[in-house]
Amino acid sequence: MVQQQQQPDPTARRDSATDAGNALLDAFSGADGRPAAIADRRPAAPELTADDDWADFFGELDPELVFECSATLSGDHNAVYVYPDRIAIEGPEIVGGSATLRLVAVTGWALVVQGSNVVLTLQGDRRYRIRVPKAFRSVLRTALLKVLGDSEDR
Amino acid sequence: MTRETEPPIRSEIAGRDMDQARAMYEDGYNGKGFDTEHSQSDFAYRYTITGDDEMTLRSSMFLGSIKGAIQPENEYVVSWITGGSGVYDLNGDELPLQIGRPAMFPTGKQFEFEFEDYRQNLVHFNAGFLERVAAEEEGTLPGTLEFDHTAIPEATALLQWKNTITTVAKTVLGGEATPLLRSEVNRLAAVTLLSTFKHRGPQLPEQLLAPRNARLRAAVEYMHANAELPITPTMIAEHADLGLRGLQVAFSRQLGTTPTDYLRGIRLDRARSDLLNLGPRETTVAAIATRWGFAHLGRFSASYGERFGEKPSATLHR
Repeated sequence: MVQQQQQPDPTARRDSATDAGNALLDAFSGADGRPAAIADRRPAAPELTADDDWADFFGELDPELVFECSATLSGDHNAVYVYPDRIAIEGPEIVGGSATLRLVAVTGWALVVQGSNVVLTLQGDRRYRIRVPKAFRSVLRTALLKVLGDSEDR
Repeated sequence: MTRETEPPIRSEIAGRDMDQARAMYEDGYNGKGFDTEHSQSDFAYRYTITGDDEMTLRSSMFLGSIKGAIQPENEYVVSWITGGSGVYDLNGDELPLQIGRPAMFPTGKQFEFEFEDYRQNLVHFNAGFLERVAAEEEGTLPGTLEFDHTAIPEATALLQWKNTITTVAKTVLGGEATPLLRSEVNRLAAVTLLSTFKHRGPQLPEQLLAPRNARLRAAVEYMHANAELPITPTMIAEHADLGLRGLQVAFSRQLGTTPTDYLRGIRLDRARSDLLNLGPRETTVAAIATRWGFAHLGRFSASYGERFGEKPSATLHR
């Protein structure tokens, strides 16, 4: 059973990943119009230093998020986001680019290694597939087992 | 459509479950025996990767305590904590980490670590890439680099490193670099790392530095770079633009040996490095011998003893 987590993440940022990156780039060059989140954090010296947390470039973690695994490889973006009651997936093999399924609607799942990737297949009203680097197989399996149970039992 | 300026690799894993985090870190760092506990913080972890197959910039956050043993493979890693606390321990040789001060992972060896409520930045260099840059910049042979993880770099070198890595981070993490620019910053980071952190690599025999021995040098470099592959004297000669007879004569005159014996020596050195870096619970003498192409265990032990003055099993049990 998924534990619902409502605590705000201590690293949470208000801007999106792309906005954060762009804002920091703007900040480096002294451009105007920086988002408040960036300005608030570094009001005096908006410069990247070696001691900054590089996770800042990835934007905020959704406080409701239970698990996230995303990867952009050579321009192909694939991701799975698990929430207490639903699972959202993004990838070029999904019609429309993304889909959200309620956890109870997922009737099966599988992880299959294909070359340097692992393919996650979710069975709901249809089949959804995304692929991420093989290195993420173990953590994905651990996360999905807790959220969805053993795929063969569903 | 892929934008040319997007980094080839950009990924993120995050969550609030310790089992997930343990699985991820054990897999990512060839780890074992991980032990995690909650701290005063609400637990969360996050791991990000940006870069390409030569170099990646990573961040790691773990709001709890974690300890275990890791042995990264085929890469060199430098890291520094930006929050929390941590210590590396190599056979009792402890290195407490200081916020903002970079430290190399011990090279090619399993080591223990213990961290709590930490945030960390890491730069992972592909081993082949960094070894190639070292060979080009320092005139050494391409091969394993041994970093002294306990050495503390000089203040000026650290400042140079920080300035460089800040520039590199802007370029890589900003996601607006062309492939050429990425290649340049990868090399800049590698060169700066090499000038900041004390290390040593395989050295060329002095006589190979003479310009007249350029082809022999090419042959030796080829052998070091491909020692793990089934290369033959004919392949080595072709690579060095020599005939087979010319190769044999050059080795005999300049190095007092044959190409085959020289290659065997390289492989024995690599086998010794493996035996030193791994423990008896992780490998066997037979496995190391097989890895480096020695089919006959008795002959391997004899050649090893002749070169290093001890049996391979004695090295493994050190």
